[in-house]
Amino acid sequence: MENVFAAESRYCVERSAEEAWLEPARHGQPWALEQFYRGYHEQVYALCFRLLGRADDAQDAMQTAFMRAFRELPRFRGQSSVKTWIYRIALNESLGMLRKRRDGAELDECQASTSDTGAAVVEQVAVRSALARLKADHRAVLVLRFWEGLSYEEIGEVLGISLAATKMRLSRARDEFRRRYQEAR
Amino acid sequence: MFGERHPVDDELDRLLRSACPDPPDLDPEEADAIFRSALRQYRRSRPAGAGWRFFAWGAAASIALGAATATALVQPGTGPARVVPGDAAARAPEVTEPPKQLVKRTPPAELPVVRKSIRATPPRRKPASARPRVRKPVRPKRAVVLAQSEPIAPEPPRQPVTDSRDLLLAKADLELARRVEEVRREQALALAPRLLVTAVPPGDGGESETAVHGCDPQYARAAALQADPLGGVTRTEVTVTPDRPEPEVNRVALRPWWSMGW
Repeated sequence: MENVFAAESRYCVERSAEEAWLEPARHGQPWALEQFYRGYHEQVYALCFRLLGRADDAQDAMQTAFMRAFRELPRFRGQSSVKTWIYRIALNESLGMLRKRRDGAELDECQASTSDTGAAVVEQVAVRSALARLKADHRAVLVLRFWEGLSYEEIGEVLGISLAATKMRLSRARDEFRRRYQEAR
Repeated sequence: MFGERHPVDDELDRLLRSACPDPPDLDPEEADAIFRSALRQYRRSRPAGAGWRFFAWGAAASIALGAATATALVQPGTGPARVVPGDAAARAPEVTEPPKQLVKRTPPAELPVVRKSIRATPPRRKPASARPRVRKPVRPKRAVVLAQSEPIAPEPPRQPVTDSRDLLLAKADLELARRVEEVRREQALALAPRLLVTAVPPGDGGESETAVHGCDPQYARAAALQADPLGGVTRTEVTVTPDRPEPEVNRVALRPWWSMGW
């Protein structure tokens, strides 16, 4: 119960802080835009990196995503949370970069941690190579679910689809991943 | 069926979660640079602000209002234009006569007014079946006769330019060439380097002392002598152009003119 209360109070604090900078940020106030950036840049960077697999590309995608977000803030109506909104922009930007990318080397910087055993390393490499060969939207939904830890509702907000469509896409992505993973093994 | 979990789904989920890569640490300075860059791009791509929008709307509204006022105040065909005092139109010259095209002309009373019936649609044509058949007369075919072409006579040799028109053209060409040369020279003069030379002409039998900055000393000395033959200290501006052998001298006195003597 304490954890629930702590999470709720943290959410309230974040929400009130967000309300403090959101309106000035809509008017392009630099300090408010900086607050917005400071609040979300790490999560956005992690998402871009997990989708693109390269730190440089992730930084580029993050920069473009924030630039677009700054520009689109006046049109943000608050129907979703700021987090899922900026995730959506970053996801679209990353998928656009993935489509442009032709060389196929996508997960070259996702190294396994040194503390892992040999079998675990092999397993991680197989998972990542299977993920790299998935369709972009399937990969996105798996990354959002398992690596970003978003709920179905949040994934639906990020992808702009309904809850049922989210579950359907996740199921299909799982199926495709299973096939690819077995091929990679 | 959708909704049923595959027996290996849990295992797959565990696999996926375990393979989550941690992104490399983002340097704070790098993060700042990314923010600044994003902010710069945003400012560059931002549409016009509220101030500019207000200004643009205000300008458009004032233009539209001015045009509407002008059309409302000037009523054609009613004599001189009515002018509201204090309006910008008051400064315009008064219109004493209505414009000619706006004078309404009434037809003389004795002439009968002919009314024309206006048909909205042209008269209908009878259908082809109702029309009598008219045969077109068959035109006899003409016999094609190829006329024998006459031999082409050679052109007469051209006469030398004696025509007054040709002379005028030649003169115009010369004038044009001269003008082009003048323009070129003016451009060369405009681009020529202006050198500032401080020159002290020879005084009491002493040798001329000339400080030259990037100028031929001979030019500078000549310039100094020409500028101040009595030996006063002057600052002399010398313009050296590539196509002129002698520099242009523009003397600027460092002393007031009344102390220089005659």
